[in-house]
Amino acid sequence: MSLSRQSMTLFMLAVFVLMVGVAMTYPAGARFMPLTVGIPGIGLCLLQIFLDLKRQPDGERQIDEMREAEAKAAQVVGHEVHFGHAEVIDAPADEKETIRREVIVWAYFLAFIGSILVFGFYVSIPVFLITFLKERAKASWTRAFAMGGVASILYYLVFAKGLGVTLYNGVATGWLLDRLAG
Amino acid sequence: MIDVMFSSLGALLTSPQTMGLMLIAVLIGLIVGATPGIGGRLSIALAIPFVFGMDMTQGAVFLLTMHAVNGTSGQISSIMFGVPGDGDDAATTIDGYPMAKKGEAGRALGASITASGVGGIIGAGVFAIMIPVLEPVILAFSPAEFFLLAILGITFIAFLAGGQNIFKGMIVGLFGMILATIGMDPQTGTTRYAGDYLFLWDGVSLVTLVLALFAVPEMITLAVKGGSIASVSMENVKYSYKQIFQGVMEVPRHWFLALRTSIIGAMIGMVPGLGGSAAAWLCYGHAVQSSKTPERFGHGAVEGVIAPETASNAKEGGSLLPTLFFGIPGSSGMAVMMGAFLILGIQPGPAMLTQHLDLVWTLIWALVVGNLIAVTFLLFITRWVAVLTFINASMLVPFIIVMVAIGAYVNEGQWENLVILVMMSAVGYAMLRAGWPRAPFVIGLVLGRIAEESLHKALDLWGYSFFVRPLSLVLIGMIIATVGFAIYKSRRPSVLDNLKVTS
Repeated sequence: MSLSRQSMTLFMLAVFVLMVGVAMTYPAGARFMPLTVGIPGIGLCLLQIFLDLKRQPDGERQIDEMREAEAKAAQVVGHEVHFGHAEVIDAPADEKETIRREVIVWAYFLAFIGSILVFGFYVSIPVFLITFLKERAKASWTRAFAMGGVASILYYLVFAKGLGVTLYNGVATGWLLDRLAG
Repeated sequence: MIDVMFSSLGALLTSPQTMGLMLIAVLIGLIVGATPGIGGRLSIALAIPFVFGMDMTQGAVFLLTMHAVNGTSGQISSIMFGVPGDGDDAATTIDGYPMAKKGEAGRALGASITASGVGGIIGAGVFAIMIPVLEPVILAFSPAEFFLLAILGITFIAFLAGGQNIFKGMIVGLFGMILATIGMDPQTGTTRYAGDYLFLWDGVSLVTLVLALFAVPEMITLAVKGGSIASVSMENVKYSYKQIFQGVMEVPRHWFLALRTSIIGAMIGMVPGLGGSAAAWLCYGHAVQSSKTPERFGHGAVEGVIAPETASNAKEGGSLLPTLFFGIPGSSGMAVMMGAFLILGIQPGPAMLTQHLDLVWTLIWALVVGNLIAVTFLLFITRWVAVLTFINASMLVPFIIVMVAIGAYVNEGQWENLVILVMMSAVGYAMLRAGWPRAPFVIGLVLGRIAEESLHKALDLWGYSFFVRPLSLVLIGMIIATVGFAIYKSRRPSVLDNLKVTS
């Protein structure tokens, strides 16, 4: 899922072009602001594409924030400064592994939101928490059930009872309950 | 003004509910600050669902207090383990970590926590002093100037993006602005880009967009990359309360430095786009330059801890000023905060001075009281807060994702916002992966709405001649200068190119 240098710019350009195009169909007063913003947006996207094409690939460099901070510190105090580095546990070994994990995590997220739309928050929250904790965070079943269960109850108490928020029940929950009730 | 000042303090201190909320906010802020993977911006966005239904003042106090104390606990891992949480904390690490290695972790922590609190309080004080100074200027502003101020705010985006990303920052800012035009046009009543989708007629939910752009991409990255954990053991960092007390006393011992760096920090905070790390680094450099023994810096000089800590916390008070009175967020954190203020019904602008001065003073006092509570707490519980550094952050991901989904839904009670959340999260994640700045988006989104409203008012009042009003010309000059400086800055070599280490 490594993005090419221009894909984001092209996406932005497409958004601006589309929105400016649609804005042309609005009355003068309504289209003024979208055009005021959209036309410079298109111009900047084209400029960015030009800059990206002009830049040599080897001239591009990812500056690590902490390395930059170490360099700044060295400049101020006049000698080398090295910060500690966080040890990352369970870090992906390569880009292929990163992509595999991205697909899995996105699948969890999409499944969770999809589940809310179908079954509502009350069903989806505990299922998502327990599944994610067990499968992704490698918690034991006991721990996943305990943490997921307690957190679900807390969310219910805080939002539904404490703040009086009515959470979405999903399109299928009501129908299912009606069917079960006969 | 004096009566409002003291009545606001009285109202804050005598309201058990507000004080209770502040205590909760301080605790959450300290925990969030010390936990890896959750930044200040994200914590405000996640806290927004909790302030629904709250009184305007209580909600604002809760969010501001939580945000203001984030940085106070952020430096614990920098000092104890030499692992800076972010750019602000990195300056503290230069001397804080060597102090810890010399067995003076307690002294460094005591000094940094106290300096942080002192900075926060002085920053609030500087903000308070600036009110009568800026009052005539703020009240002289008309819709014409507010439109141009919004444009000026967007040009500051260039600074937020920084380095090679200046044009990308501007594109993202304009992307935020154009999304702000979705919904009913305030002038003609035309529905723009909304079609038959009624939920879009009032515009796209700000909370949903903020959560999608910031929270979801960060959480997915955290889940993909695995949890980070400091590589040293707590057992290596031992200290006593006596050492902490010695550290606390270092701040009054270096009171003039603390005062200077707090004022500098607050002033930097008032300039939108300069960011927190600029304040910390500038004040660290100032401490080195003004010291009679600069060679001690980098080897465990306590002034090297005091200076960046006072500055980075003092900037919060400073950045509140452009946010509240001009509607220009001083930083990306303040941009999210401003979005939260709008949701609470707080409209930034001159009305804050004429109609809501009590709220302004309450927020100033909240910064003072919040910092006092945070320092008191943290001096006693640092040891336990430090344990949070070891949390496997990927365990937090599902809980935060649930909060994000609830936040996106409860804002307007519309399930469609969950669909928007997914779509914009994909955009946010793509931006993160492609190395595009995301903070300008929020500023563009917030300022876009203000800019359009002000533009229509200005055109109704003066037509296009509003561009040649004297104050407008000053602001136009500032816009041109800002863009020019941003381009100049982007062409300068980075610090890495200039580095000549003399080890």
